[in-house]
Amino acid sequence: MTKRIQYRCLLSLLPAFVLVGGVLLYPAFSTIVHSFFQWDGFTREGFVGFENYRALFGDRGFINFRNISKFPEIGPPFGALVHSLIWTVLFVPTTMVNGLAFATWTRTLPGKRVAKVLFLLPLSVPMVVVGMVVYFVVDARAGLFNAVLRTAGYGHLVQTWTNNPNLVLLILIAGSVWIFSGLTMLVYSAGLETIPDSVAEAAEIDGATRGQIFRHITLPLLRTSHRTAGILMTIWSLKVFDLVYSATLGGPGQSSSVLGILLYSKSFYQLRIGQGLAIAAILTLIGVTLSVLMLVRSHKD
Amino acid sequence: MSKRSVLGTTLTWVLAVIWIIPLIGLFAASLRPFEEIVRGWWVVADGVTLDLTSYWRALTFRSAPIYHGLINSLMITVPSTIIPIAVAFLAGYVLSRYHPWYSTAFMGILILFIVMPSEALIIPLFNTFNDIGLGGTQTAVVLVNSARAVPWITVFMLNYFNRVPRVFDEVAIIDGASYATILTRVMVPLCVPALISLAVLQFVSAWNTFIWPLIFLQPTSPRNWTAVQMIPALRGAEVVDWSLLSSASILVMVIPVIVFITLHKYYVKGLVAGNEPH
Repeated sequence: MTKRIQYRCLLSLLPAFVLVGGVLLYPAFSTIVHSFFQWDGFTREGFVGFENYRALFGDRGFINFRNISKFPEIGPPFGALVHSLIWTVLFVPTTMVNGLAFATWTRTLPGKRVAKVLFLLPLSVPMVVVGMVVYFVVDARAGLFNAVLRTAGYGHLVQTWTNNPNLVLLILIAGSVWIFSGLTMLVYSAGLETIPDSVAEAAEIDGATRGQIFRHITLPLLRTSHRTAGILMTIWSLKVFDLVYSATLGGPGQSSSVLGILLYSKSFYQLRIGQGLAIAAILTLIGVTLSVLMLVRSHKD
Repeated sequence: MSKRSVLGTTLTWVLAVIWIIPLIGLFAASLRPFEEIVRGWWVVADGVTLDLTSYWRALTFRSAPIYHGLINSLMITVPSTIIPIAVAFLAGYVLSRYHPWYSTAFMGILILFIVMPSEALIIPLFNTFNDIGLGGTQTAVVLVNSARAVPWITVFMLNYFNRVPRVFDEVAIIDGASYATILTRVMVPLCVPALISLAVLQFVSAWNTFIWPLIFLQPTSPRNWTAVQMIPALRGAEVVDWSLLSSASILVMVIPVIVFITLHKYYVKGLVAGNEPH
């Protein structure tokens, strides 16, 4: 490469370097390094090693060993770390199953464009509004969900469900599934397009049932789609913040608090910056692990 | 697999309609007075009153004037859409055509920040922007929105440029075109569909962003807030004014939803291409 082209490359990449370096890379380093320091409000004090992490694991807002050990008798809060984990474990498979179902059902549907737009619509709604919508649906007086319960003869159960500490997390997860099933549907629709009809036709001639074709041919051929959907949804489940903030602020009594919410409240309400940075560093490390996994897997293919 | 039962078709359509009932409910609630909403937005037996005053109240509400919010959101979202696309367009082109020696390392960093939750950066970004005098400004929100988008848009553009045959560049060079001419006169026209997809995706995403306005603008006057940011502030502590809240929500979501519906073909194409394994 000539000197001129080298300069041209550098000059063209400079804006990207500045934005990525200054607004993402430097703060990420700073987060990890500073999580090993003591903080007084927003002022940095001395180096303390893993002290912030130790304090974090001793904090019931992060992980509540007492409630977890007495689980069936005592319900949430279990701590933000556990709530986030529950979120990932329930959210990822549910959105994948929904997405695959919607993609399969809309594949040959008359008017499939419009149906797909309907499934995708929640994705374009601000997450903060989605939080309000979830709250609106389960509100004791105005909520449609409670009206359905009344009609079905379960009137004694009627309540504002987001105020129920045992169920609030599940309801918010359901809200996030409502939004993201459209996205996984797109991933699977694109995957289904790559499978030629002739494959299923050949199997049909050989006497395979629809169920067998789906289980033994379609599902394995969608391997790439499973991976893409799985990774995307895992990433999203780590980022959840807006939805919880607007629907419940993590309440009642921290029952729906997740890592994003705890990070925000540690940093801007409790002013325990050290612990906030420790949470942020943990999130960063999970991100690094996921992206390495992603690179290794896509290298293999 | 061409046969399709009537039952299956009907059920899928019923499900698709059920899927957006919460949004229909929100819209219906925004048009009716509070007394009717708490009896159920779907109840029509006791009479239906059209009440649009809640929209006016939301637009001019003192602690969260949505009217200002909409203008602020537009002022933030437009540069947050243009800047990262321009920056990533240049970066993607160079990475695709010249592979400078540091391109592998840079790609690794980009992938990392596509995956990493940027929420993890709130503390150092809050500190840094305060230190350089940008705390509490919309500029800070624009910079963070832009930076967060550069990684995925760069990878998107890189993949796109890799599919544009090099003949286009070579012919232009033989014709004596400069680097700038190749970019603006040859590459931009070839990329129009991709650029529209990116613009739609990034516009909707930047408009809907909540945490960064919350970090940077919440301590300032509500007149500086974005529209999305005002929604939690409109919710009362005890009694929720669903009439006000539903109207405000509709006002806040109407722009991204209209952009999505009118340009959904580009939105979908962008999402599918952007999520292909790289």
